[in-house]
Amino acid sequence: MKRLLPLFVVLFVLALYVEQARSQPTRSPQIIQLFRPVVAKSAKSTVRVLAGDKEAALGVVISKDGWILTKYSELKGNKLTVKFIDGKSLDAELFGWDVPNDLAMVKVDAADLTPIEWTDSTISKAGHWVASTGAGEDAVAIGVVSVPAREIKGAKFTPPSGGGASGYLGLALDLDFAGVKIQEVFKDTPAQKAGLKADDQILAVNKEAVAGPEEFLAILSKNKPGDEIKLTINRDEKEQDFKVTLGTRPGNKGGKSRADMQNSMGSKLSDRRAGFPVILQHDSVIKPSDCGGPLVNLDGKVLGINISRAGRTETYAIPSEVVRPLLEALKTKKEAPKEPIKKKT
Amino acid sequence: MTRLPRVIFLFITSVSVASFILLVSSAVAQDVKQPEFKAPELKPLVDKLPASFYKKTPENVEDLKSIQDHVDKLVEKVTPSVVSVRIGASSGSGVIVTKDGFVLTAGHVSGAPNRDVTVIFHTGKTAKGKTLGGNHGIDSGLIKITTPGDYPVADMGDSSEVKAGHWCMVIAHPGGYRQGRAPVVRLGRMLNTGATTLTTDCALVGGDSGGPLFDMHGRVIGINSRIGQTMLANMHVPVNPFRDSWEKIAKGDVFGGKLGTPAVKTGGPYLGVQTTPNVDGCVILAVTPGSPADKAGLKPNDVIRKFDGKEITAAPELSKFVQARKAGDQVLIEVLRGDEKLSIKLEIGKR
Repeated sequence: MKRLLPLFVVLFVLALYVEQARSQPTRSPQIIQLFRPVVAKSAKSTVRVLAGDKEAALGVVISKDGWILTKYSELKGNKLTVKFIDGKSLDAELFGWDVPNDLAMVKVDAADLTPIEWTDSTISKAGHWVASTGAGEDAVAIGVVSVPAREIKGAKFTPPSGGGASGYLGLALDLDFAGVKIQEVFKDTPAQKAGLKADDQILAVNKEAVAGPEEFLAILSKNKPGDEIKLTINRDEKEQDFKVTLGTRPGNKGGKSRADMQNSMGSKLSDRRAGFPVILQHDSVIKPSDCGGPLVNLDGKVLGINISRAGRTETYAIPSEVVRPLLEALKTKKEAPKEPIKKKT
Repeated sequence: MTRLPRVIFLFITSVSVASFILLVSSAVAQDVKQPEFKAPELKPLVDKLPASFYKKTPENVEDLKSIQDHVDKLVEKVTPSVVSVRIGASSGSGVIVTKDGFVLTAGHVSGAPNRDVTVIFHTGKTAKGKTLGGNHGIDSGLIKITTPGDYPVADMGDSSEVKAGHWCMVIAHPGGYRQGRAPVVRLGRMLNTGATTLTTDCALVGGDSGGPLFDMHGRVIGINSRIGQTMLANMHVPVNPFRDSWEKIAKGDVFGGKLGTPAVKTGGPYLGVQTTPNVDGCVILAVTPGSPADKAGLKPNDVIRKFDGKEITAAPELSKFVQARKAGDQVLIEVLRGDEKLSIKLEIGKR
């Protein structure tokens, strides 16, 4: 057997030679080129938005007369310029913005732009190709729908106050319970130290009532390690208050969790990655500055607007069906009125 | 000096502020004998794939459409077999392969035997389970669903058939189970096939560990294990070496060395890079912090073209050249960084 080994190795190396030519990554330039006809139409309605002299985002033309939708949080109060696919460049002015969806409307002085045509994102299912249109011939990224549009319950965006990790409690919730009930309290965690127990029902955080796990998590995520919170608990039909000093998630190094570290491996992420009420998730690897542009399916239909490079495996788009109803309100110079998110029927 | 792991395992501990864990309450230790593992058989491959899958690369939008139509059906077919698994404060993925509920996962997910597991199906429904054994040498592990039931299964593939360039798909739970989110689909291609590792460009992250890598027949060909520093470094345990020892694993045996340690001898010559071949040479996927490669300034995405004047055309060659040296040897490595050609002097280290 030992004598056969060298031959085996040679065969193995030869096999790799043969197969090598085929080991073309999915996102190779050759494959991205195939999407040129797919993005051609929407590219005519896609612009590059510069904040100061920095490429901040992409934008989508929504009307002939110069209204352009883009990603809000990348603009950062700078002087805005919009560059068109034909090289033309125009000054732009910020009008309305919508913080939950991170969308902003800018206006340029023009009369003959090509507006985008929207399609409901529901036509594309998990596993279907998507291309992220840029202000050029090639797509800025390609991938597939990872999860079709879904509502993120309890999504609430609060601007980060100095960044850093959110506080850690150390418990697990009962997902089947209509409310917030503790299923397990982990050992040596702030929750255990505070005296919380399995089957405790959490009624309120800092006197703010919580109806479900998502809401509870959304409130908790605003707190930092070291913060003290007051939980109102129903234990054996008696209401009690518990003070908990939040800790740091085990395994966190320098305020960065292991999950944060893994997510930042391999690609640059957007600053804003959470709090969007409805998202379509895809596996394309886009640059943060390429958010704000259209996401199209293989037929070139516009499913929505890319809004965040959110993690190693995920890029988010705001679906067309969420974007469209916002457009009119964004044409006034103020933050768009907050409307309750429509429940799916 | 503490050396960071050369690759990152994908098991999540404490996913969110309050990890959504459905704990197995009243964990009554049942006095039942270890469930009998009937290894699922390989199904003969009869159905041919659409022609687009046999091309070196898709040639037009029609090819992409044909791939999409096929993937569409596959996603629907295999998703029910994909589960999220919760063990204590940690969270991973798995795939059901027998109707009575044996679940393939990663060795670093199942960990120690006989631990309580909450298995969460794609619908959000849950069942109870127990960890069985694991082969930590290759990072394979098993879980048994103990709640009686007739579970949806995925077919087993043959990883020896898998070639670089083949299309593949990961469906799992990155970041752990999220209420209202279906298992997350990623489509990609096989970049490198090794005896104990498959490398793909299906992006993985913590929580995906233990989840299935499917071929385009919808068969499980790998189990998600770990990642490197680039988007092209997503590593999976091939199912064939997994199958070699799964009966032992099903009995609750834990073997194969210490978790996370590479199965190589220490003391040998050492560079500290993970690579995959491409047309120009050998692309660096990951550089181990503190390694000779790191000290010399090699970076992920650098393409190694020459090792001491000798041309590199395949990844095993690089390894062969390194193994032929000894610690302390000075070598000159030629790399392509973007369009720039660099010559980098490097001292071979000791593993």
